[in-house]
Amino acid sequence: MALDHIRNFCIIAHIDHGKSTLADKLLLETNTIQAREMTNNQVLDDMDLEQERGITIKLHAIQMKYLAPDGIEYTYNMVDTPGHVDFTYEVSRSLAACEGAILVVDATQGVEAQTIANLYLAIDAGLEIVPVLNKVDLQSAMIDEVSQQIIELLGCKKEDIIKASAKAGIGIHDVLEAVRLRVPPPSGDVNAPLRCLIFDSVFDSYRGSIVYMRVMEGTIKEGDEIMFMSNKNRYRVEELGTLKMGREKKSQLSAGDVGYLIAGVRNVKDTRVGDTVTHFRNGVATAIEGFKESKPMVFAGVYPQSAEDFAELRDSLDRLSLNDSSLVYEPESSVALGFGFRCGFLGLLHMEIIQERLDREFNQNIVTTVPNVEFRVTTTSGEIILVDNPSAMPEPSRIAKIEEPYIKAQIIVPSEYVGAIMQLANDRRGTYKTTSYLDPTRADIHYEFPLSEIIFDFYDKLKSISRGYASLDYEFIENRESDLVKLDILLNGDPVDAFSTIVHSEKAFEWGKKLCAKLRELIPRHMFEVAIQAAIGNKIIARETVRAMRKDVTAKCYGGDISRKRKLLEKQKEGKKRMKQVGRIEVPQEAFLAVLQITD
Amino acid sequence: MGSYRQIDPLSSTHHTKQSEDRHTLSAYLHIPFCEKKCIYCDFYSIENLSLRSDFVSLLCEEIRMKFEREPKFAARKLQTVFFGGGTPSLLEPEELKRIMDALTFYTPLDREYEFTLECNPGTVTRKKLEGYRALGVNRLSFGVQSFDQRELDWLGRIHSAQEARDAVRLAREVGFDNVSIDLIFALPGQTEDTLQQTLNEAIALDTDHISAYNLIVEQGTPLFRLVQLNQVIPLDADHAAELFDLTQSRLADAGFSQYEISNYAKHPEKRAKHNLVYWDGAKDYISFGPSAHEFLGGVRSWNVRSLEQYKKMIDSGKLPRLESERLSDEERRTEALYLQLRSTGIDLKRHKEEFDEELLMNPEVQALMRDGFLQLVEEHLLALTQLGYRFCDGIVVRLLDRERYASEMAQRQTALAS
Repeated sequence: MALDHIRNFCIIAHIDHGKSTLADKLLLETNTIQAREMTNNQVLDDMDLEQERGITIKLHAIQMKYLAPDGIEYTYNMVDTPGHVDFTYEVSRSLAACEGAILVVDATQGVEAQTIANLYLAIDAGLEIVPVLNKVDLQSAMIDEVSQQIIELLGCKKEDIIKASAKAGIGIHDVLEAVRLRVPPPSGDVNAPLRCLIFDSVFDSYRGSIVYMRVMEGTIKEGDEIMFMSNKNRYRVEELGTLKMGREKKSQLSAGDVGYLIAGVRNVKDTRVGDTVTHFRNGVATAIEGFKESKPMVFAGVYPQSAEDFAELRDSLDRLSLNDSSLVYEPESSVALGFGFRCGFLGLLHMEIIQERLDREFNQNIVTTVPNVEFRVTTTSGEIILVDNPSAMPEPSRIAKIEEPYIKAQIIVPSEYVGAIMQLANDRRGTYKTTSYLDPTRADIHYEFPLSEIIFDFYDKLKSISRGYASLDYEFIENRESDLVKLDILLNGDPVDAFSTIVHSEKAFEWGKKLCAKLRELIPRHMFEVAIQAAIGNKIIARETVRAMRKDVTAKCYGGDISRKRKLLEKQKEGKKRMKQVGRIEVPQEAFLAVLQITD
Repeated sequence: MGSYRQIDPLSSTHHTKQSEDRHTLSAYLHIPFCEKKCIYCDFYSIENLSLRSDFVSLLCEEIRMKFEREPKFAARKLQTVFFGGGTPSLLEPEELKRIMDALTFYTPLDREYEFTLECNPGTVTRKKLEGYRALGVNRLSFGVQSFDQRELDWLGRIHSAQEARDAVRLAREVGFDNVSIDLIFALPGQTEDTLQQTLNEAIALDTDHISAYNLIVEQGTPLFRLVQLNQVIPLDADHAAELFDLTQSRLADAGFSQYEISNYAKHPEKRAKHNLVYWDGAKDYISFGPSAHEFLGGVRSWNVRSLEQYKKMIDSGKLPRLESERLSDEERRTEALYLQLRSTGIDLKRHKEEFDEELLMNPEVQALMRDGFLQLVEEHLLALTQLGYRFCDGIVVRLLDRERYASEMAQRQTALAS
């Protein structure tokens, strides 16, 4: 196929700005799908979870045929990108597979943090940007203001911006034409040594890993012997093709094409996003730049609710990770929670997704601990330890220094909320960097934060203090030394490892107090008094008491009451299964996430 | 009064306990009439007393039907008989005789039997009590509930405190040497003082046995509606616990020993033998009358809870049974734990034989013993302590999950293997 007649592009947008709706309309307009096939609202998001959340979390690609006014049929490969901060790297790899990006901005919302973050990624990747102002048909659309924001950002002309309403079908054709006219066709030599960029892979239980890729150079054919450059693994190509509503088999793919590859790879972990596929013989020597091993940033303990479900949970995680190469986990044990796994996630959203998938797809009842980051501890003997579980933190006397990951954050917010945002950032140990204004009403604030300060409720706080208007994007920068301490919780004198957290020393006292108070609300009364203490090392810094229950009995003297009573006791026994027994104390599962419920 | 069939003492041979269980039986008879329903009561009874003589015939018919259909129970001897209600003391002695004649035709009274009749102090006369006694009634249980007139009025009792005192004295005069009274505590608004007063009066009556129940707000009662409408505010659990505490210690001081959550006896032989059959968890009891529950050979059955339906079924030749359940082993264990623990304790040897479980090996049991909730009595009974009685439900629930430790150990092994 002539490269001139191919366009590879993606759509970038902030969450809810209409990316998926626009994608669907492009598919309809090009007859790639029929309206009746759209049983669900958005074709590209095929996991239930994604549809419910209205966000795209897995990458996919789809090909459409566009018959242009010039009478030529063009092949459009639309590569989808995930829209959340946790997946920056995946976004960058999708972008690298394209020559152009449609930038969708909601005319009622304006430019947001992810608009900018993704835009910069696209510009870095050298993509042609096609700005689309979406939802222009709504009463609340601020067409002039938002157009101005886009102009400031892109340095484009007002007439370059396409006014559209994906929902109402306005401007769809203009978008298709702009892609044809403005996005350059792919370059690449079909006869050069093979280089394919993997931008996604999914697991199929019959075929193994299905690799989604863009052929950058050369030609790949069925039966070819290929190699994945990051791990040097060799495979034979079983099947190739392009992606329509389903897979469409082809005998070969060549430079400029976007398609799929099946080569009997058993595990998606062996087909990493960003990796390069080449021929085993006569391949290229250097891989496509930008490949990174995905690195978990957020860690949490995941435990089965009942001890006997441990093996089942392990199977579920094994199966889940087949399809999600970013999920890492290893067995760990907790005095309080028994046997479970320490899981590493790309970020908080990724963690939530895994939790929900374990629940919905695998029917696992799990208890999760409070998420934490990975700390880099240098001991007094000069040894460096990576600590991803607070209970594994060495004794204070053995610690020379602790470093924690820092991120740079970009927050875009209407200017009236700047003060409140700064207050929040201050509470979260933020270091102020710069503020600029996208227009007189919208500030673009840059901060640096310890990642640990934003992993639980920062985003929710940000949203609530800005009435939902603030948006956030962040990126890891480096590890930095911090004055951190391990805060332990003791129940009746015994430390409960699952409650341990690492906090900044200045916050430890207040946290200890609040955590004890919260646990006092959550732990039910027992037949004995329960003392809840917060401690740093050997020093108790806070205490609360759950008073002893005085009485737990009702008894009638009547034969007829026996069955009823038995059923009641059985029910109570079931109820206890939702509790974790820590020593002799019954702790409800939500207590292990009590830290998350503490309000500033 | 004629006498009914009694077994010949000479013909009775020495039985081992187990064979005795298979040769004896307890019987419960439900008399579903009250002059006036009390606001807290959820036992089945109606206020239309005119149906009484009809009812006696129906009850006799039910007895006849049941024994004819299940003759294997007919050969047994009655160890305990209990007339409950409702208000059994609304029965005239002639009526009681008709019922007992029907019953003892199939199952004669054992040599040493306990025959209890629940009495409302507002319904008894000397003549009635003498009549009952002549029929073999040897234990009276008076529903006194309180000696505080305001509390009695609030509960909807038909008798005064004075009538309660008089009734008990009358019973003594007539010659009853096993008299019990029922009390209810934790009434809304009840204070330590009013309960103390009631306990003092109860003790002064010098009965052989006292049952003191914590008020339960049962669904479907007028009291339940009052609570729902916020017109009555139930006593909070901590206060109720204090009143329970007061009851336990006051009665203990007066020489009553607690042998069940709500029951106290001056001497072990004055414990309610019929109730101990319920709390054994394995003994058979047969029952008659609307809403009555029985437990025979591991099967629990209960009758319809309506006199009208009861009559309809018996008239059409059917047992007035509503439902029955056969207990699984696990259910039997649950009931055994609960029933034995709430009363005199679990016989460890018997428990091991029946359920293959060494309770003393359970770390939960060990901890509860250490903390003073459970104790070992006479080296073979695992029983609640005075403190433990207050937490019976919670303790039983802790013991129900016998798999817990086993599964935790198993999991540990799985995890280590991986």
